[in-house]
Amino acid sequence: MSNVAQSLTPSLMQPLPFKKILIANRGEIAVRVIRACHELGIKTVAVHSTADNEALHVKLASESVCIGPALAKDSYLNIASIMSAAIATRSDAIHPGYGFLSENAAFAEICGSCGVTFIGPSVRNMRAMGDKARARRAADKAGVPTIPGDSKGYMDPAEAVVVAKAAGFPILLKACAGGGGRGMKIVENEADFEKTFNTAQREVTAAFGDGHLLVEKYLRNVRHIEVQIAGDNFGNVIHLGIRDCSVQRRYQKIIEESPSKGLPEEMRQAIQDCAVDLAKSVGYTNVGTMEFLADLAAKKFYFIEMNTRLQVEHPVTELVTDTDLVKEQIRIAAGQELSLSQKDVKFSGHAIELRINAEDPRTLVPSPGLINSYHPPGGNGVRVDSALYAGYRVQPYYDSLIAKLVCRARTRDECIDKLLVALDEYIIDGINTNIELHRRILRHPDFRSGNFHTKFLEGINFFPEGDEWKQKTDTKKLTKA
Amino acid sequence: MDIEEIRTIVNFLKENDIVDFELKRGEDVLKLSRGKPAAQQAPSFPAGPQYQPQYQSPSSYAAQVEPVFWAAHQAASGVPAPTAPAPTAPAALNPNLKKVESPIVGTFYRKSGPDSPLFAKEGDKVRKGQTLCIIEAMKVMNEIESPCDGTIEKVLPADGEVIEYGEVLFLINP
Repeated sequence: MSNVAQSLTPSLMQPLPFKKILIANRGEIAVRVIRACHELGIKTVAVHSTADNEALHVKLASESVCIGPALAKDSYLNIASIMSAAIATRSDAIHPGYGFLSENAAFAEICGSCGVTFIGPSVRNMRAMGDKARARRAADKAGVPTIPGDSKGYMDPAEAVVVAKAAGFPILLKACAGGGGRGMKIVENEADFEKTFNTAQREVTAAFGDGHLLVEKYLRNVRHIEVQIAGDNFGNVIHLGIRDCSVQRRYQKIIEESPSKGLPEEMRQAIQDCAVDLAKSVGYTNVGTMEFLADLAAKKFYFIEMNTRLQVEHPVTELVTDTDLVKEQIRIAAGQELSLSQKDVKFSGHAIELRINAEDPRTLVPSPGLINSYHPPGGNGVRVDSALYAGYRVQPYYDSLIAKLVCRARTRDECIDKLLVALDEYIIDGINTNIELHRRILRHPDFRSGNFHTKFLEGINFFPEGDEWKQKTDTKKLTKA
Repeated sequence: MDIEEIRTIVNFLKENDIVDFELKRGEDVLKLSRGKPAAQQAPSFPAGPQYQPQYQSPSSYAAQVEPVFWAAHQAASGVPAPTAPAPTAPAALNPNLKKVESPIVGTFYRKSGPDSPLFAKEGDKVRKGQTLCIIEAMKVMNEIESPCDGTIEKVLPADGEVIEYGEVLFLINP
C-alpha cells in the first residue's frame, strides 16, 4: 500500500478545521460521504425527506434532520431548508454529493455567504465550466480539441444551419443549459434541419427553461473517455487517469471501467494532458471530471464537457489508483494541499463498475418496492457501494440507482470474471433490478474484446426471448432451494 | 393427489405469495403453510464516529471560535437535533388532539426576545391564527400560528431546539 505511506505528509497530520459536515444528498453517495467523514473523525448530519425516514444514510449519520416532504424539489433541492439545517446543526461544511445541488453555483454561493464551506470547486469554476458553451470556449482557448461546430447557443435555426453546414452533417443539437442527454437530437441532413431544430428547442425550453441550442458535428463509433482531475487552492492540478464510460443506454452510463481497452497509449496521455491543461487554465479547484469523445479509428479526440463535482463512477478510479477521492475533496476544501503529486499517481490493475438500478432490465420500467431479502457479494477485489438493506423500501421519487458493484483485478478478463461470479451471489429480492442485463452485457463477445462504442447497447437486443427471461432465472432459484 | 399436483400447488402459492392454504377433496385434506422469513430487522448503528482515527484528532486543536452569526443566540440552549422524529406517545393518549407540525427546518423559540413572555404554555387557551412560537430559519423569524381554537395540551420541543420538517411542536385540545 505504497500510496498510503506516501500520503502521510506533514500537512495531513494537522487536524482538519471541520468538526461537522452536512451531506446534502441521499442513497449510496450519502453513505459513501458519511463513511469518509467518520474515517476522518468528523461528525455528520444527514438530511432527508419524509420518504427517507428509514434510509441507511439517516441511520449512519451522527445526527439527522428531516428537511421536507418526498418530492426532491421540496427536500433535496430545497436550498432554504438545507441551509437552515446546516446552520441549526452548526455544520462547518456541506458535501453536495452528485446530482441535486452539486453543480448549482447559486447554492455554493449561498453556502459561502452563510459561513458554511461548500465541498467542491469555487463558484467561479462552477459558472465557468458548468455551462457547456462557456466550457467549450475555455477549451478552444486552452488549445484543447473540441467537436467541429461552435460554442454559441442558438435560438434561430437560420443562423444555426450555417454552423451545421460548416461542421458537416450529421449534426447533433444539444441543450446549452441542461444535461443528462435531455433534448439531444440528431439531424442527418440539411433538409431536416429546421424542423428538428424547432422540436429540440421546444423540448429543451420545457425541460430547462432555456431554448438555446449548441450545434456540433455528430460523431459515430466513438468512445466516451473521461479524465479524473483534482486541484487544490495552491495551483496544483493532477489527473488520476481515465475512465471509459461507453456502455450507455439513452445517454445514461451503466458500465464504467479503467483503463480503457483499445485506447492507444499516446491517445490516453494526450487526453490526460489536455484535461490537466484545461483545468489549470481555468484555475480549477477540488475534484472534477473532463469528458471527451474518442474516435479510435481516426485517432482523434474531442472535449465535450466538464462535470464540476464528484462522479457516480469515482470508485473505478479509486480502485486503480489506491486513493480516496471523497477524503481528498474534504481535505482540499479544508485548505490542504493535494495529498499526491502527479508523479505519485500510480495505476495498477483493472477496475469495472456496474450500475445496479431498480428497474426491469428489458423494459427499463422503474421498480420501487420492499426489499425482503438482501445479500451483497464480497471477497477479494469486490466492492459494493449501496444504501440497501433487508427490509428497506426503495422509494419511487428518486433516481433508480440502488447499488454500484465495482470489481478490481490484475487484468480486465479476470475483472469481468469476478463481476460475473459476484452477480450470481448478489441477492436483491422483492424488486426488479438490471442485474440480468449486466450479465448479458459482460458475456457478450464484443464487450470482452473491447469492440464497442457509445451506441453499443442500442444496437443489440439483449432479451431476444422477450418476457420469458424471467421464468428462466426464477426456475434456477427454485431448483437450488 | 400425486406429488406433481402438490408441486403445482406449491409453485402457485409461491408465485402469488400465499402463506396458508387448505384443500379438501372428499376424504383427502391438504394443508400447506409457507414459513415467512424471520422479520427483517433494519440495521441500527451507534451514532458515529465511534473509532477515533490516529491521524486526525478533532479534540486536540484549540476551541473553535463561534462564528459571529450565532452570537445573537448565545441564550439558546444549543441542544443538538434529535435523530428520530418527535415521540408519538402523547398523540396516542388522545386521538382528538390536534398536532401542530413545523412546516420548515429551523430553531424553536418560545418567546420573541429573552425578556418577553412566552407565546404559549401548557394550559393556555389559544385562538385560531394566534402565534404559538417562532421558528427561526436563516435569520428569518417565522411565526407559527395555531390552526384552531383550543387549549395547549403539550409543548414538545425545548426552547432553542433544532426542529425538523414535520416535527410536532404542540398538541392542542380543540
